[in-house]
Amino acid sequence: MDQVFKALADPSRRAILDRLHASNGQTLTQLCEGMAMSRQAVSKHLAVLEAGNLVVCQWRGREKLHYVNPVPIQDIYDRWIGKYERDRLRALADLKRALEDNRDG
Amino acid sequence: MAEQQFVYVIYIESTPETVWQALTDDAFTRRYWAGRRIESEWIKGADVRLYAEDTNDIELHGKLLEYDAPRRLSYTWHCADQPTDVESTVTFELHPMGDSVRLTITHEPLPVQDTARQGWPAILSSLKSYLETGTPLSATEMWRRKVS
Repeated sequence: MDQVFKALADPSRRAILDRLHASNGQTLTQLCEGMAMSRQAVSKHLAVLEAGNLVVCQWRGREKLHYVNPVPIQDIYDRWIGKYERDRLRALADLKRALEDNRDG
Repeated sequence: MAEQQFVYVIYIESTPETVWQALTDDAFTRRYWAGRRIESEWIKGADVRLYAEDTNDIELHGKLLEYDAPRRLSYTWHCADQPTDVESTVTFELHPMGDSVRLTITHEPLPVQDTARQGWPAILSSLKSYLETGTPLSATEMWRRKVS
């Protein structure tokens, strides 16, 4: 679990996860587009994310595609969120989202 | 097309043979897969069905595409209550890694409803917990209530 937290403890790596969450299965080139980082930097961050099993790769022909893997985050959730807290936490998250969406709109 | 595909990877301290059994034996699936029973003759082209716990309703049905024990399992996937969904394919790949198995699941295109997207990580965590400790996770208990 150390590697998962290490991987998550960086805003650039969280931004990469956000981008994959929005559009899964991207190449390194696609991921670099619109990011204020060098290709080498993105590549390094991806290696840390892969070490934490938060990103997995699949080859499609000559293209290496990157996918967000939420399984380690599920493990964190399972470890610290109790069975009877889940519905209440979901309700709180929904409330926050509803109120903040209204504010923005 | 790639963005419609989902890839999940989990490492389980077990053997490929045990993980394979967990994927194909209803005595295992009902423990970690929110009470569901999987059933098939496990011959290429045979039906694969997933039954709900209490009602015996078929929740998922498909055809077996590949059965290469204990390495690669693949079947098509229709949700019984989502008749308009495009047919999707789920593939399980097992690789021994020292004392563990690296289990990769690809699902493409993922069914439209959120349940499968949110469901796989919970099912996989539960499978891991069941095989490593003998106890499935409570995560899928909540999921059982939501789905059924």
